[in-house]
Amino acid sequence: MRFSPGLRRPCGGGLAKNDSEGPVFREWIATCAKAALIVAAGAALGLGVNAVSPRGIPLRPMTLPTDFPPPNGAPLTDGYITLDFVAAIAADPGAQKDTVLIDARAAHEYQDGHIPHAINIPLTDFLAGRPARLGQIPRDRLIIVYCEDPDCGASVTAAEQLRLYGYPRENVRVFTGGFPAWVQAGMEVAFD
Amino acid sequence: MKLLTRLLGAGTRGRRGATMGHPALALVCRLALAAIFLYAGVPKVARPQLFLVAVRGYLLLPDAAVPIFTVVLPAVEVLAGALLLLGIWVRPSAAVIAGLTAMFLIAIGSAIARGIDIECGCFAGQTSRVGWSLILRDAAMLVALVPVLAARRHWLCLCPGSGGAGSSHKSALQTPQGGTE
Repeated sequence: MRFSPGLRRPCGGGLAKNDSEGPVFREWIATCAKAALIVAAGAALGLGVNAVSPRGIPLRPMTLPTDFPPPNGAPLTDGYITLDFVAAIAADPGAQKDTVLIDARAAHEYQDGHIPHAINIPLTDFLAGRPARLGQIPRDRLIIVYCEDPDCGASVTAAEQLRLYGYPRENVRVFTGGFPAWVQAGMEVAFD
Repeated sequence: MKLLTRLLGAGTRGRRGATMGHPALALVCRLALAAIFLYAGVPKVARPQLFLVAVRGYLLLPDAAVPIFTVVLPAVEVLAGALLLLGIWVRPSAAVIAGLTAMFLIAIGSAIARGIDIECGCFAGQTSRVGWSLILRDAAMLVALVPVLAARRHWLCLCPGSGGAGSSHKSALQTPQGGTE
C-alpha cells in the first residue's frame, strides 16, 4: 500500500500491522468466548426446561445389567425379566391376554422363528417415528420386548421408546436373553 | 486466515468487506436465520420425544449421550435464534449458529455416506428424509451467515455495541470486548 497523507498510521509498517490485526483477533477470541457462553446457557436452559416439563425425557437411558443373567428371585426388577417369567406367561393363556410380546428384530429374523404370540415391530420402525402398530396395544398391558441377544440393544431402545410414547414404566420390560435364550431352553418356536 | 480476517473482521475498511457486511443485507439474513432457528428449535424443546428418535436414528452418538444432546441442542438453537432476532450479541450468536449448521452438515453428510435412510429431525411435524437437498439448504444457511458475521453495524438491534467488537473500528481499538457488553 502506498503512503497516503490522509491515512493515519503510527510509525513503521510492522507496528501498523500489529495494531490493525491484534484487535481483530482479540475480537474473535471475545466472540468465541461469548459463543461458548451461549452454548453453556442454552444447555442449562434445555436441561432446566426438560426437568420441569411434563413432556421431559429421562436423561439416563436404560442400561443392560452387567451381571447377566440377573440374580434370581426378582424377575421384574429394573425393567428386565428372565426366561422363567416369559415361559410362565407363554404357558398361561390367561396371562397371555394381558401381555404383549414384541420382537424388535428385523422382519426376516422374525420370519425365521420367534416366540409364539410375539408381534414384530423392528427397531427401525421405532427409529422412523411412532410405529403404527402401537395403536393396537393398550397401555395397561404388560409389554415384553426382546431381540437377538443381551447385547443387541434393540430391545432396550424399543422399550425406551415405548415409555416415551406413554406406556407406563413398570409395564415395559426387556427379556434380555432374547430369542437365543428361548431356543436354548428348548421352548416352542413359531414361524407364522 | 488473512482473507477471512479481511472479509469478516475489517468490514468497514475493505470494499469487499463493506459490501458483504452492509447493514441491510445483514438484517435480512439475520432475521431469516433467527426465524429458521426459532421455528426449528421451539417445537423440539416442547416435545423432545420425537426429536430423540431422530437423533438416535443418525447412530452417531453413544446411547448415554443421546437424551442429553436431544435436550440441549434445541435449547441452544432457540437461545441463539432469539439473541439473533433481538440483536444482542449478534456475532457470537451467529457463530453458534454457524457451528450448529456445520454440525448438521457433517451429520447429514455422514448419514448419506453410510447410506442410511432416516428422518432429518430438522423441523418438528415435517417429514423430510436425509438427502442432498438438506446439504444444499444447510450450505445456503452458512452463506447467509457471512453478511451477519461481517457486518460492523446492525439495524434493528437492541444493543448498539453488539457483534462482539463494538460498532466501529475505533471502539474496537479501544475496547476489544466491545462497548457496553
